[in-house]
Amino acid sequence: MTAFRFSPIPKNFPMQPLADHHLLQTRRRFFGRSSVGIGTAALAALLDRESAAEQLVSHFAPTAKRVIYLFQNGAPTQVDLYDHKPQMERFRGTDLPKEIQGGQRLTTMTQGKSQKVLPTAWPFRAHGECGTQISSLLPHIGSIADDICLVRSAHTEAINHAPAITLWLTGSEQPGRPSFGAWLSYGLGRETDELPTFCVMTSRDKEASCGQIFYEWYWGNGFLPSRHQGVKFRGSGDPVLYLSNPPGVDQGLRRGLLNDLAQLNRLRAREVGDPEIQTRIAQYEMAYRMQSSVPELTNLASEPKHILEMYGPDVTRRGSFAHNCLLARRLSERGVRFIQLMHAGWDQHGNLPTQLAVQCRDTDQPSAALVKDLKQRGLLDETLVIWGGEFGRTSFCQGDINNKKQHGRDHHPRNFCLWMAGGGIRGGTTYGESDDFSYNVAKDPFHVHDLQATVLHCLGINHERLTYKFQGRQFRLTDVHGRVVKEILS
Amino acid sequence: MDHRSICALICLLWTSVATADDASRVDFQRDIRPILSENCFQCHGPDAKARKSDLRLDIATKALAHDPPLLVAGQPQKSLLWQKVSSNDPDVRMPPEESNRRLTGAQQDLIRRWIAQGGEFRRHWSLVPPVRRPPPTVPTEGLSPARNAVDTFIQARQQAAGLSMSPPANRRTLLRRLAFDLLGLPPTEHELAMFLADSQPGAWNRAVDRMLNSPRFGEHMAWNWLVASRYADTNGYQGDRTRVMWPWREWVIGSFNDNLPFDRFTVDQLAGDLIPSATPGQLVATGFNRNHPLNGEGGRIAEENRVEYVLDRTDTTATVWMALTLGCAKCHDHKFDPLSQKEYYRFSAYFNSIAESGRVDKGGNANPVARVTTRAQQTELHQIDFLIRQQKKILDRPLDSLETERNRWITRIHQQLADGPLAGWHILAPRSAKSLQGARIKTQPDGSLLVSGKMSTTDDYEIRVVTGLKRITGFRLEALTDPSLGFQGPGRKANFVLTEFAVSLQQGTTKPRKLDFTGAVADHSEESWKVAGAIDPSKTTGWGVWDGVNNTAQDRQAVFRLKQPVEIAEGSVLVVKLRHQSRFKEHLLGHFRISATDTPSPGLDTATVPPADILELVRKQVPNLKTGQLKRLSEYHRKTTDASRRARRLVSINRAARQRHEGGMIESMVMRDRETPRNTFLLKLARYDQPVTSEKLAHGTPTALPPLPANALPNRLAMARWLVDPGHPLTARVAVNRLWQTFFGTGLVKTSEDFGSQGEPPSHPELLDWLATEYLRTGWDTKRMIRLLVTSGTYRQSSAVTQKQLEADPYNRLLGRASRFRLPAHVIRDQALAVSGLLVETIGGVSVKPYQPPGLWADFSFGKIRYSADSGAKLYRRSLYTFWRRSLGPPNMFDEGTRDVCHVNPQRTNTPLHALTLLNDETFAEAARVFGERLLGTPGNDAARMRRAFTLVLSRPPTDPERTLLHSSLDRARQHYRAHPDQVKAYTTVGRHAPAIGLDPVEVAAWGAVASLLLNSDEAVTRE
Repeated sequence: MTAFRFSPIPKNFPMQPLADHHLLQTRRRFFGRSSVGIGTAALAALLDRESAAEQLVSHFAPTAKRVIYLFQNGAPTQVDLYDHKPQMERFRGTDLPKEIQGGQRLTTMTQGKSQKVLPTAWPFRAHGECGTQISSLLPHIGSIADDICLVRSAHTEAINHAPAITLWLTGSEQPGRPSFGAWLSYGLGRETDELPTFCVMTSRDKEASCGQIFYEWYWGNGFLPSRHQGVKFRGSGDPVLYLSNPPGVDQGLRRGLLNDLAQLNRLRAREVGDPEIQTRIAQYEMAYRMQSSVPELTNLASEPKHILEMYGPDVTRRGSFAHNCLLARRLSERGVRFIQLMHAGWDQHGNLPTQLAVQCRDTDQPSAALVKDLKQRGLLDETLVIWGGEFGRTSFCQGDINNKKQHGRDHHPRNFCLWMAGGGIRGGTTYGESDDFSYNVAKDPFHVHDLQATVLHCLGINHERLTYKFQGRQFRLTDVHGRVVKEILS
Repeated sequence: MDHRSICALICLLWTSVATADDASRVDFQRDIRPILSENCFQCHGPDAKARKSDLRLDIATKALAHDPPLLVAGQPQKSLLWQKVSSNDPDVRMPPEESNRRLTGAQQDLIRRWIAQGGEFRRHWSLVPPVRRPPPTVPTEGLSPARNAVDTFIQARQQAAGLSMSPPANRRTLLRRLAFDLLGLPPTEHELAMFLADSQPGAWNRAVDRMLNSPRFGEHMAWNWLVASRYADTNGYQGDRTRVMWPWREWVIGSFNDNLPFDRFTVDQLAGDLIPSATPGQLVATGFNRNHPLNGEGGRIAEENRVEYVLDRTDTTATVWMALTLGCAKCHDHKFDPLSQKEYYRFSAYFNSIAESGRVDKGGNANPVARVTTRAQQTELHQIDFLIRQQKKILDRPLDSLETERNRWITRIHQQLADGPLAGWHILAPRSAKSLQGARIKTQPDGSLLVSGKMSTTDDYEIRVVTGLKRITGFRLEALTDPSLGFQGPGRKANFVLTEFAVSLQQGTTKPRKLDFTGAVADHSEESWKVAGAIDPSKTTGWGVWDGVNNTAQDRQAVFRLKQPVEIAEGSVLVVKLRHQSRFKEHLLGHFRISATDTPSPGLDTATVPPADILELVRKQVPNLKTGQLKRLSEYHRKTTDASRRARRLVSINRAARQRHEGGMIESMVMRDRETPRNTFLLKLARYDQPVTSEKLAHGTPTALPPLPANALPNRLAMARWLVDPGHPLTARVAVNRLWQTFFGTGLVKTSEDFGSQGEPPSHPELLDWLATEYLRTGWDTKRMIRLLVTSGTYRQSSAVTQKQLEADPYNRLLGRASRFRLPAHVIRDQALAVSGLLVETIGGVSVKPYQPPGLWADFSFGKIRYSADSGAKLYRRSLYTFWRRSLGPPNMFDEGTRDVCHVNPQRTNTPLHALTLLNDETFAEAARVFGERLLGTPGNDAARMRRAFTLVLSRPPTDPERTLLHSSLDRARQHYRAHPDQVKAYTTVGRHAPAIGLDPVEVAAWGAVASLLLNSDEAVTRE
């Protein structure tokens, strides 16, 4: 499946210094018996199997070392949160003009039904020096307006949750391709030897008002080797699957067992000469290290009170978005390459007046706190934070516009908003514009693949050159599309 | 499109070919075509829309027609191709700067040498049918003796590269390898001992045959086929509902075990439903192309889903049988292979007329479905049918054979008649019968009443009868079976509860008088529904006949005795009331008969008097009867013999059992075409709503492949038969290549999913062709092909690798040693279950739910779906039977392909998460503990137990250093557990398997630690 390409190891090989030192040591020991050095091809083959990165790419100087993607499942409403359209108020309750709607494809939920314009019920206000207009539902995100670039012209093709989320996270609507983080693991390798290089955490609104399932392929490795898949940190039980020893086995006994296991494996390596055995020994050691590094990571005892307070009251509740945001910062500090948070609950088809505020309360403060916290630690410069959902919501009403409690907005792929911060993104800016109804992109469209191309660019990668050959074709995250949106870079 | 390999121009130029020594001979297929494909075809290949400068390099005639000449044989400098690829001028050089591609120096050199050697163009290798060349003769001096044809091909190639074969692996390693490859399990102690004891020639072949005949073989071979077919137990997508596809899995296992030839295996799965008089198995087989995910998300457009499924089947079929990346031609012509977009959709037409809606419209399944029988069910049904046939023979006994018996019966009746009036049960002839709720009650020729029509929760019947009897002492109610009733009756839906049996006497116009009963008996009553309940005042008691084994289908009778005999005046009417007012719904009598008697003490053994017309015949005496009359009399007699009664009862019981089986039969998804085929159009960008309706596309196969027979029908059956036609260049090659991959780690074509231009050319093209033709020659005999591979010397080499070998052939593509690779996760789990003795070897059936950490399903589904592990034997079935939720596969089966799309190439990675799984998962922790118990049950000392531990896991005794190491490990564990009794308790109760009795818990824990160590060792998880 893999088409191995032997390229000389570049000088800026971002190796995990400790592990590679260890591996090279064991290799030296292993091959030390012989007087003849190992051939280049064989060495490349070994490195290929053992090194973290498979296709080392550093096409230009990166502005970011890592990515935190705060994915908002269910599709947040740009009309009520980020895309200020006061002029829409005049049209309240009237049919959306035909020329705006333009015969667009709708879900079967609103197909053939009337489309009454529904302006937002919440006031907006200008924030920061840049004066970006953001809804009063998001005061904390408003407070970081000068650090973010608000994209107001995002668009996609997909109109249903799973395909749309899959498109953002893998570049294709159908499951089966590697996810964003897997591509980075494959292309950049690891920065840490204590933790997985791609970590995922999920949460949902407290009321569980809607259920968009978190599919494993959202952080899957697709056709890349499975070591590139995201490791899911869980909100309950062991933070990482099978992290705890079984009943009746303590760490002391385990240490002894692993020592004996390594010794047994070395005896076998001497017999059969397979270098893969050394990798296995190393991976068992890393598993052992994770048994202490992960609990250390998830133990918030060392966080001072004022930091906990930044993230809001939910921060101590495992599995909450706030908790995950704080863990995201801790993972950043520990050199994890791609941190994917997914928070569900934005699918307000019929409960917009009541549920949106709850949803914002759960996510606003922690999202902003994460950016501020990274910034005060000097990590924001090298960490790119993305906040956004899979599509937007219609500016017309779904359900009865006169029912004060139960109405909402349908899926809307043609125009919506997201924001990015840090890691080379120019803060205090906006990019792109929608039309008067927040319905179509009016200026500077920003497609899913553009985001992917741009983020890869910030990481020093030419998105057209990060490829993997599978089933006869060179695949890439951006498929055959994508434009680096240089306008938003600092 | 061009189908010739070498064009005339080449032949002309051939004369001036520079001779080069063979070692440096450039092979077009191996060396040149891949370079052209990778770097040039995108703009100079099959895709007409993307083609630049009207230049095509994938077809010889087109390439060579170019002016100025692209190739001047023997003269690179005069060839435009060479000028372009070697130019230093970025404006001239090919591939151009913006393509992000550039030929390496080595690649340029290959092209130069190729042109210098003649620049021969050939058609892509995999599109030319395999040609069988005799195996090469190899000088065997200093080599391991070749064992079969496979070896000579391999050795010839090795010799050319200056390599040779490794010595054979030792017999223990070999047997372990074979067991994992064929059965997916380590050899049992018995198998190992038997093999080691067999020192006669042919021992290896005998071991191979034993394993090929093991039922475990089919289970193991099924795994990869399930992955290729994207098998799962749920639909995927939102909701991820459970579906029923395991009967298809059972079919696959059986097919491998029965060695179904691969051509039939193919046709059955792609088009079994279209085979004339298809068997149930062939219908189940078509589940192959129903294993794709189903999207039931709200708001989805059903037609969009349906089209997705059609395209999925198209892609999967092309990958699995032809290793063609046909899916690449969905949105545009294929960039590298001669497959047009139109051809893609023509091929998709075969899957476009399934009777499906795009909805999940049949429970968790989607139509079309079929009721299917598992193998066990089939056996049971056969048994039932056999029993019914046997009983029917009794019921249809020749009347002649009963003559004596009949005459005795007639004599007996005559004697009774002589003694006075007949005192037995007289059937009461109904005058009217009605149901309170409006059901229909019809009188039958035998005087019984059959209920049909409206079914109500409760119902009462009222039957008015007259009788010739002058005096009545009791009544009999017969509850009778009938084929029209649920499970044969006697209730309308099997059982009934008669809450009241009441009789009133109406003489003239007087008010009816209710008769009093003194007691009731029945030949059978349910424990809590005694017959006495039908005559007591309570309305909540009554008579029921369920017999506790899911069976009611038998004739039953109850006798109700009157408190005082009642005299019947001429013209009196009896009103019988049957009430069904119990709390059980629809527990109503369906078929019954009421009789009365004047015998002094009526009981169950009171004889039956024949009905009046028969009695009349009896009176006449046999010699006086006409033929027809005699026949009627004899038939009546035959019907009432004890043997016939018994037989009728058995028929009813068995028919009910059959009905229950059929009701319990599950529905599974199959292929079935609708009556009117759908039109197929090219879809722009593969969008369901963008068909190019100007041109209706007919069914068809890609023109780069051999044509369909002229008379081929436009259906899947014709397509399936075309695939397995001996002239097809791909199917046999693709199939044997996958087998090769299974037994040697990597396919002869490494890209087993892509035999196209962008795939890797075969490492041993002649061997691949030889094997493909051999497969055809032997009638697609899969077991025979496997036997050929595993009895080769190549297979039996040692997998130990030297530094020289690593350097010369790091990926072992020349097979100078056996490949050594990690076992798949599902085999690692099965091994742990097997060596600990926990494994339950039941074949087939519904999927099971072994251990899984709590909360996983609830987490991903927002609490909507929860995992509840099975208990008992279901915890220890082979991994093949583990319930596979498509959104979240079993967490301990790492590296197993996801089941969203077809996968034909295994993944073998090595991560810390795997280590955590094998060390900490409850499955493995329990297996280690129970393995420890098993070792403690071994007689002898520590050394004997250690030897057995090694034998069970690694099929060999420990070496000296290993023994020393593990004994010290054991001692340390003992000391540890002696000092930590709390841990001992926790350890020895891990998992649900009850702890062994009578063992020292400290010893169990210490040996369990050793077991865990061994099961985690590299050798244990590796196929060596």
